[in-house]
Amino acid sequence: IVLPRQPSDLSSSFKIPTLEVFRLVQAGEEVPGLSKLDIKPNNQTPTPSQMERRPKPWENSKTHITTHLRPGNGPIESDVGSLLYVFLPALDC
Amino acid sequence: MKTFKFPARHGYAVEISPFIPTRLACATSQYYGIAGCGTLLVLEQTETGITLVKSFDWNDGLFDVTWSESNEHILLTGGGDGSLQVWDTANPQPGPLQVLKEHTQEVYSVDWSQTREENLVVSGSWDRTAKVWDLSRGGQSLCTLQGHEGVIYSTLWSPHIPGCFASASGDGTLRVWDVKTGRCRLAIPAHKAEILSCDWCKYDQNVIVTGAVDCSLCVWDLRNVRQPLSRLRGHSYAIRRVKFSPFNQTMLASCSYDFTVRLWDYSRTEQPLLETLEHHSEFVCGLDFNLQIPNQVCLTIIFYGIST
Repeated sequence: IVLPRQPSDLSSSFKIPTLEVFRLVQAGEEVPGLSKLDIKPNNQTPTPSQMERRPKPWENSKTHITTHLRPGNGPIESDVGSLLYVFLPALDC
Repeated sequence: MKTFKFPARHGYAVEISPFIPTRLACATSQYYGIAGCGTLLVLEQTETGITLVKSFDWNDGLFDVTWSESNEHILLTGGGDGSLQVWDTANPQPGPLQVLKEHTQEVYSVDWSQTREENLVVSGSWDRTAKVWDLSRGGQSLCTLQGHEGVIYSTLWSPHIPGCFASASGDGTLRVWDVKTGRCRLAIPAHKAEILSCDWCKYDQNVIVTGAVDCSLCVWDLRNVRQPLSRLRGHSYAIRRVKFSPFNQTMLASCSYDFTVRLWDYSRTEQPLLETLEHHSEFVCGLDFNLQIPNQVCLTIIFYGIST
């Protein structure tokens, strides 16, 4: 697991609980410790694509458009393969 | 099980690249999107784990992400400030290529059309409108679709019918829109609660699923909307996301604030629930199937950590 880079707005050491943030926002008050970013578009042209679009699985299928439900009360055929988890933990404690 | 941790951000949406199956994008916000900024993460799955390819900060929280269907470098996000941002992973300059600002409230949903002849994006906002954009035509939307009486949580192109998208709203309706006429073709009072998510069946152009705060999923045939084809119960809290399988006509996955992800086959009328995956301390916010792995259900899940 690679250590992620620290976002710049974590420079403040005081971490505000989410409920406090909510209260401040509702009251129209400034939330301390949040850096205000001022990111602007660069208006450049997109990097040209080098890859072909791949057909979707359903575009290859012979049952492309169908209107009938197949009855399926038989054994479970699902095959749950690899599960990939991306975990983004809460900041406050 | 592979994990990636990124401090001070809460994940809202995840999408796997249609070009590179090991690449995924994640839209995140600071402080649950209540205040502060957002970050777009571009991640790569390796054999050993997940690495960060690139991250892009934005001035406000990011709530949804969609990859371009015509260019592997390009993605688009929807932000808390009502704007859409176009990003280029191969451009070394910071910041987005382009910012599209028309919505007056949070953009909660963005979707890039998968129909081959189109190059359109649809956005859904808490300002109750959906907008259609053609990025090659500059910064103005092609049209604005009005009609919902509540916030829009999800807007999704039909994978089969060009110029047609569905929207799910806090007003409890699922609407189907035709971009050419700018009209709502169908408005279904699908739930007596906010509908947070919807998805089109990939193998039957008439079928859509909705997932709502009432904890249920409903599968609809748009030719007869008086009652759903199927109502899937089992979740104990609101449904956050629902997605139809790209490989199987009647299989779908849902995630909920009840800390579970469930897999269903709605053709199994007696026992549609196939599998339940539980995680005790986090709830799942984003969900996507991998299109490149045949005959295998592969889910990408974002855990949205909550404080105690």
